[in-house]
Amino acid sequence: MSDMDPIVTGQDAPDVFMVRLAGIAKTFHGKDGRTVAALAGIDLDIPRGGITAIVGPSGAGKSSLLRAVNLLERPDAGTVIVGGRDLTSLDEEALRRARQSIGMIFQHFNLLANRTVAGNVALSLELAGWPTAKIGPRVAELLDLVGLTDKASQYPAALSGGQKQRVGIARALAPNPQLLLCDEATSALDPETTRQILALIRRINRDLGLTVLLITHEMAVVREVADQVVVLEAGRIIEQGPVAQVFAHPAHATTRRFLLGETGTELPPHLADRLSPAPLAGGATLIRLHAVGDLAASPLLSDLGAAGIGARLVAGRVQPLGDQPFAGLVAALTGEGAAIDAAIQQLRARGAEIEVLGHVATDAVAAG
Amino acid sequence: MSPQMLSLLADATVQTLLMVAVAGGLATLAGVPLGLFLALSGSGDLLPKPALQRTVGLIVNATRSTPFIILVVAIVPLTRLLTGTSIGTAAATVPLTLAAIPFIARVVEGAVREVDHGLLDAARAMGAKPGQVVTKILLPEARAGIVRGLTLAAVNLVGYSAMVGAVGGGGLGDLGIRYGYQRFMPEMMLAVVLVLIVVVQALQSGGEALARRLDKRNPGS
Repeated sequence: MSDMDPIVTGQDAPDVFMVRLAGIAKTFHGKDGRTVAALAGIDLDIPRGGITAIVGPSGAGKSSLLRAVNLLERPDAGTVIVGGRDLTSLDEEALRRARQSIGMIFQHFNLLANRTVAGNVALSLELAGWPTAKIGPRVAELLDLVGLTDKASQYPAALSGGQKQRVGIARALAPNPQLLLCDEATSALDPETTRQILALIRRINRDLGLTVLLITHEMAVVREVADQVVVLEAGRIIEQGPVAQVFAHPAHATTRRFLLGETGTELPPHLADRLSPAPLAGGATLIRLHAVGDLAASPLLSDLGAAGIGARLVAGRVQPLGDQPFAGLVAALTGEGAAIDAAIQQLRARGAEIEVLGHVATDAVAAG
Repeated sequence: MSPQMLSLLADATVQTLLMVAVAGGLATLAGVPLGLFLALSGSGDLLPKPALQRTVGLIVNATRSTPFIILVVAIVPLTRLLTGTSIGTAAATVPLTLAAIPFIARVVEGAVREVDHGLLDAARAMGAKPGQVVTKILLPEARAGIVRGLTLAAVNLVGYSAMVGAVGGGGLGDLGIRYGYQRFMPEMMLAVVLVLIVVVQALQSGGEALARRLDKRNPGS
């Protein structure tokens, strides 16, 4: 798969995609006269019914891209099609209405401090012009969905961060949107609360069939919640695809670097310092291995042992990725050079992503 | 103090309260929309009208920098036009209102600008009309700040209302100057000052209590 393949190939039917972005460009003009291209011609199709994560380092243009989808930030060029409608061609009034079918939640929740929890959820319905008689029952329904029924008459100041985000989600979902935009929705939350909010997003995606588009700078969020991932760097898409595929076979150096912390495959410094590009007599070969699914669950190390290769684990982690296991390992292999090469070829043939990092003396591995 | 003096004091207190209430009420009616306009019409704001905003801002600043006693004299023709006279409590209300409008406008502008910008993003994302942004988000979220500003304006008006006494405006200031100072009655001067202290104190604590009740930004409030 090349870097630029669309997420879903095949049929071009309009209802396959919830969002279609074409040629989105946005330039910011700094005060010193310099211009910065926040988005440099983005083409992106978001499949209906899934959870798509846009990930990238800060300044990559994630936020501008997300805010282009509901035109909170209008791009300088390009078209934005949501649910089959070209938002970029709408007048202000039609755009207002179109936005009511796109929910959005925010990093800092953006709740009204002077409205109760129920009042905050009601706001999106009031703005959408719902009749008062229908607002009350709908608010109760949503508070039940996010588990905040007992907080209905509290003010946001009395809530925890996770509860505030639940209010944000309830508010966004109240007018029955077809798409939910999440702007770093868990970045202000602790890891445990983040997991709970992601589980809630996953649940509403499945139960309501809601398409979710989120931006994050954390690969952990991508791993926990997303089906598809889009990696953004310097205003361009550098890689995209199903999460399992991008995690197992990252094609771009930035993606690989981004994944290191999340997969636990950062090379320990005491080995990185002594790494030699050429094989050492009696030394060990360091490899980084990514495997997903059956391969990750198979006895990789004993397979190597059977081939007469010693494999010592240096770093790594096995964790769930969607509903399958995902292994990221750094191992020091000892044995005959030719046997190691053959074993690596064989693992690659079985679907493992293997990067040969270099060679170290065996005592270096033991010292770790 | 004789009953006669006491009744003079009571009348003057009522006049002062009346002037402050009428001028404060009228100035609020004009100042709140003006403040909203100033807060929302800058370039990049909700309803950008930067040229008009600069002009209005200039007029507001000019009015605020004119010393009040000069404003009173300078607008006598306008006062005559509106009230038919330039002396008395009704006439004094005109310059009081005029002085309070730009003050209230700036205070409201500040309170509205304090509203978290993220709320405007959320409102736009929910498809809010500009009018809804004002009535459902900006004013409710800024209400505590606006009440504090209006309290400040009312306290200032009490002070200004004493000044219009110098040009025959009536009220406590007038009483203090004519009896306390010109007729050399220190007990009257003291009484006037004491009543003013009580009035200002009541306005300040009443306003602060209301603002606190309206402000839900901190837990337990």
